[in-house]
Amino acid sequence: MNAFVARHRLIVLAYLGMLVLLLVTSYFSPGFLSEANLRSSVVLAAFVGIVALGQTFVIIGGGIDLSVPWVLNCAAILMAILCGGQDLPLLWVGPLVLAAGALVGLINGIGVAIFGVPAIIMTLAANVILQGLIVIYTGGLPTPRAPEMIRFLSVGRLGPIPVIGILWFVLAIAASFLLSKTAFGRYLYAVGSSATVAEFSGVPTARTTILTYVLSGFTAALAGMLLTGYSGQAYLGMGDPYLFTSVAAVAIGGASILGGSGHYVGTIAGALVLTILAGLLPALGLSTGALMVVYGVVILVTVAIGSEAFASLLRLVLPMRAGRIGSRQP
Amino acid sequence: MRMRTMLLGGAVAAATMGAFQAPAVAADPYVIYLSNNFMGNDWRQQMIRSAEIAVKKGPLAGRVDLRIEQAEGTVQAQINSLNNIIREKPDAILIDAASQTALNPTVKRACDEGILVISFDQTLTEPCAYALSVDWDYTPRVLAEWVAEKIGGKGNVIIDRGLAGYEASIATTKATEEVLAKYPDIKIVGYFNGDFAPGPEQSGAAAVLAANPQVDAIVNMAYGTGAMQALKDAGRPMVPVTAFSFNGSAVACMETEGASCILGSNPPYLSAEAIKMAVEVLDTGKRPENRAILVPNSFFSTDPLPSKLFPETVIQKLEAGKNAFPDLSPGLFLPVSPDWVEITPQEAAGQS
Repeated sequence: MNAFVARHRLIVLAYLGMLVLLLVTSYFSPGFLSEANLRSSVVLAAFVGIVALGQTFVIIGGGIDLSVPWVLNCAAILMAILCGGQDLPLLWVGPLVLAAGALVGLINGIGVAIFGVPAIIMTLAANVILQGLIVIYTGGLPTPRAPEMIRFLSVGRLGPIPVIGILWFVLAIAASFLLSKTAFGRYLYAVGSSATVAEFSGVPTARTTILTYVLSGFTAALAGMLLTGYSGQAYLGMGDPYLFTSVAAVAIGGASILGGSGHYVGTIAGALVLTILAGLLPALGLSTGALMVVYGVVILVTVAIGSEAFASLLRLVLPMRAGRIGSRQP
Repeated sequence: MRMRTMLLGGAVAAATMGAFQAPAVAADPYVIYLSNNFMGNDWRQQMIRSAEIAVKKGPLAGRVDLRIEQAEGTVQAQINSLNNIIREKPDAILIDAASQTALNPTVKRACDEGILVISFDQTLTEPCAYALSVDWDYTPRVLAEWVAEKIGGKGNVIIDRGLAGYEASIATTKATEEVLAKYPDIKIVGYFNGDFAPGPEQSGAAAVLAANPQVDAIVNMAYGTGAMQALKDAGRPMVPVTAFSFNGSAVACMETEGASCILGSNPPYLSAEAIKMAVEVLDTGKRPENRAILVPNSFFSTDPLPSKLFPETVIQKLEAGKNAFPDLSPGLFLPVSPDWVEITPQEAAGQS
């Protein structure tokens, strides 16, 4: 147990932060811990969590994917239009849209890993291009309603448990398995720590990097389809909130934004922290401007608590326990 | 004061309507440009379609050579586009503006060239240009009064503040609060920011519902469907909601068990109204004195109640197939057609 805490100090801190925030929120918002609200919070966290899944892989590999907003939005609109409100077309539209998301990721990955375009430029450009394409494609037609099937996946439930919560759990297990138990996972940490060293050690760096972007495109597209179910319709701009939240969830979850460390288990805590925070703020009764300030500050503080600098500070203040708190996975 | 502008608006409408009946003898169609700065939402796209349809049939058929200019994105792009338009010396320019003030100098030049300029929807402050819109102060007051009366003048209300820092959101929220303040037993227990999008509206409403065990009504600035879904998710009974007239909202209000709603509107056919006004002014050569032209507001409700604040207000009862369309896109805006020309719901949705 101690060994686990020592190895995953940042992730443990993220969950502790989440618990503190949960207590504070339930104090200000008494209904927050009700079954119904916890359920709707899990649903909201799942969207962030699913977008942040691919983002976690990309960031661990030393990159960043800024194309998630419009990959998500394009997937949502494409699905809504191709399905025309019907369930049956979903059988081929679903895989098609996910493949399209993965394809965007593939292009991003090739741009970054093969052609050496900086990840920020590559994915930002992809984002803008997709935004333009979707305006051309829709050509002014409002999109139809979301198919009932996709609504069931995002707002339906089995007994007390939201369907999307189950889906998220399965994805989380798959992501954790990929990171911890496969050669791809080991390569990924190596590439993120130092691409050069990884290259000389025989790690297929390009393939590993490309795969992270493919994964990110896939999860963003999946989130786009599910989010359409949640809102009942697709609309332009629906992906915009998920750029900051997906990166913030990864950072709060203890991953280094420079790559080489982090885990999806941490990102889950990050997604939950952001969702609980969004639930806390309206309950405080602050003005809109003040809310935005508080939102930003809490995220910064949460990320700072997990940082190396904060750990060094702790070492100064608590010299006796420094060894244990400060030790880190090599 | 507000009533007076309303009446003036009505008077202008009546005067121009009268002029409209007169047989028109124009030979060549008027060249009218429509300058739009943004295509990124359903409303603007329906607005453009409404303009295109309105000049093809009814009283404007054959009267207008409509040229639509898209200046995507920035204020600068729209200024450039307007400069090009002015060089063509059209009869009139209609503008859905990127900025209330930044286009003013350019528009002033157009006026000085003798071109009729009518801004609509996102209007301009330039005095030489007309500003055609619905009455944004009146609409939220009717909605707030309805919701207050609907809950018997007593209870807890939560309010969607729209988009943070957006001027129209602030004004709408203020008007809502002023009306609700007249009911001493109504308490505003929470606010959220719906950002004019269904997702944020739903999560915002859900958060405020969690913080307040008793909520009796929800005032929304856009869809209302997010708020109703949040009620459902929280296992709460439906409460009266106010929203704006998206087809999807209207359909949800009619189909949701126990829902009662009122919907205010900002009709996309404002573009068609602007074209009609331009033709009337060009036909008669008479320019309305008041630059603010108010297009009549439409209201829809599952349970229309008479307005005491504005007795002249007509609130239509929602009816499937008549003023709301379950088979058409939820992103369609209602009402789809003014009364002087028929824009069918299918045409408005781009499905004809």
